[in-house]
Amino acid sequence: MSRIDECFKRLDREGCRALMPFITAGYPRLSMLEKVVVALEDAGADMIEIGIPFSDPLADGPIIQYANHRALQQGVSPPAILDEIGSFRVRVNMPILLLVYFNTMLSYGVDDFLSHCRKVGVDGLIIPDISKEDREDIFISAGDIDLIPMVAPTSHERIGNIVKNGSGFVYCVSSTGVTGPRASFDEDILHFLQDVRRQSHIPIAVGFGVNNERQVKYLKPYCDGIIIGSALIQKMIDYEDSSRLIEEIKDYIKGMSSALDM
Amino acid sequence: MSRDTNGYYGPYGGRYVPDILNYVLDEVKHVYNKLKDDAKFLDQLDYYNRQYIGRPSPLYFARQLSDKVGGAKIYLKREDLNHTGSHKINNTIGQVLLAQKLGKKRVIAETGAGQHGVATATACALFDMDCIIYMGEEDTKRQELNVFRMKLLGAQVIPVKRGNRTLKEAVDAALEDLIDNHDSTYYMLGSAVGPDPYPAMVNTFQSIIGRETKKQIMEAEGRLPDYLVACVGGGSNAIGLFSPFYDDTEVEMIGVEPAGKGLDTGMHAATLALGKPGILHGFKSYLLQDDNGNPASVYSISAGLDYPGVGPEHALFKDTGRAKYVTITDKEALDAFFALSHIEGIIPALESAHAVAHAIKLASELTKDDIIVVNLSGRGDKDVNQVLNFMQNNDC
Repeated sequence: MSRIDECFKRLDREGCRALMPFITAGYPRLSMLEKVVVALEDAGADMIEIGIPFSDPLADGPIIQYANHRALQQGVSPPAILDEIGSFRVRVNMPILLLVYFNTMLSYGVDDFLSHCRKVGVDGLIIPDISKEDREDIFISAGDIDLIPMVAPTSHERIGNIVKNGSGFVYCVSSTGVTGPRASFDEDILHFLQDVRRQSHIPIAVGFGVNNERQVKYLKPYCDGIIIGSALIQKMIDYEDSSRLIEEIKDYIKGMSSALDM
Repeated sequence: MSRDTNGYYGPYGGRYVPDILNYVLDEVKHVYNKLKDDAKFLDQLDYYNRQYIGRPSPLYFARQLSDKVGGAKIYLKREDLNHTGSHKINNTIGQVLLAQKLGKKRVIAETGAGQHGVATATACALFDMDCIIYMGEEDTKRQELNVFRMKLLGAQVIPVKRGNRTLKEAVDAALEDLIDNHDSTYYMLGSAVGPDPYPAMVNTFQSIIGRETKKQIMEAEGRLPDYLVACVGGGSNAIGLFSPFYDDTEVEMIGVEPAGKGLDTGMHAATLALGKPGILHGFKSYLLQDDNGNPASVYSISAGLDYPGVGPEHALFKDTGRAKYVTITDKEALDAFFALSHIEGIIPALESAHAVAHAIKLASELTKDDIIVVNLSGRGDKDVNQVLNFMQNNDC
């Protein structure tokens, strides 16, 4: 059983949902990655998603694009990010997932990338732009690394097939846009989540647009985990140069964590 | 006719997109597959090709140029004489009919030099659709006149202010818009790139160039040409000319990529020459990229060739050797721009001038019995300001 599976099992026993913050590696600086990850775990995060910066991130809105851009400006590279994760992996208990655009893996060499991930203790991969054909291949070669399937409200009859070549949990994209905060969710998303639940043998988590405690409370009965991305990065942008950065993101995630556990 | 298998050209092409887009692309593909052999649709397309675009475009024997070069006969396929001044309109009229069948009222497009933007805005004016054009801010400056033309035609032009502010970023912005607004919106991609089914669709609508050329050269010379030459950015005018000749293996196909300031300067956009396979904008092909897989910054004097990727069918043609790809520098393209203007009274687009430049080189090495067809994909009116500035800054 993978670390991600164990995490969901434990939370399920405790009657809890997983809180999964997303951050971009190298933003504000790669040297801060450990501090940020440890702070998020302290604040109640159950898993962490680390984005590998890419210049043309098809699924991401302006906030995460900005973080990617800033990280790339500093010359942050995928091998350096993986090594950095390896350097603090023993000091973090929660599962670590990477969000990586497929060309980053191709450029590194898919097998080399996977073995580097294995070496540094990465537990799962989210590849938002992988093709159907490559998903099948990589699902086999990923082995013990979970390949997180991603589905959207327009996935409909494709859900079963996507989920089949995946493990860990299903990443449910809450709405039909790029990442970024949304004012509210409508009822359609609940039908969508119920639909994914029916077709899935693994836990389901919701991401894209979640930014406040009210939304967390609204969504939690229908899923096993919630991903907070752009809203957290926005907090980091607001306090980019401030010594209060770590405290601010901790407070924010603490608030989300208690909303999720209440 | 496109030769893809399930959206793939050998190992290239495919669909590397978030699943949200699969739904939209399936819908487009479904309607495209239904229409492409539908007699009524083809009649309608034929009507607009003749009555609105002004097809067939002439295949003109450039006698003065051929004599001057003193080698092979150079024919020009005059796509510059199409309505709106380039081959781009062939594709936008086809796609706007498709968008109409899909019931979409809002059309978005990317543009580099502005030719595709103008062709899209034109098609949208004709079919009464809302039109939004994404254009890199840098390109809006290089091609001010085309920005004004698009606005005249009723389009909204959104300058894209990220990255290098050119064509790559314009495609990023258009894809994002599509992800956000796919219910109401049709994405009218302008080149033979993007996720399946776009490369196949663009091939289908641009292949009229090659079909006409085949007929016209048979009438003029009683045989097929020895060489086809076309510039390659994304590769739509080249695939349009090449595709109908695919099985005529005696016809050599040559794509001309922009070498910018020189292949060794890093200031170029010669994707097939120096790129390696990768993924950008939802498809796999050759890609100019850095060590970490991020698309490289590219450069060309012509905004329409300034793209780090290339159509997947060209990638396969390169690998199989069915087509050859060469490069031409800014300087050589400018020389050809001036030469064609002086000698034939035809001002070519800077993009097309790359093809003309290579044809001149090639012709000089051949004999009078050889025939070269160059795709003159667009006219140069849009470029005269830029060329004037360039001359003033370089003391020409």
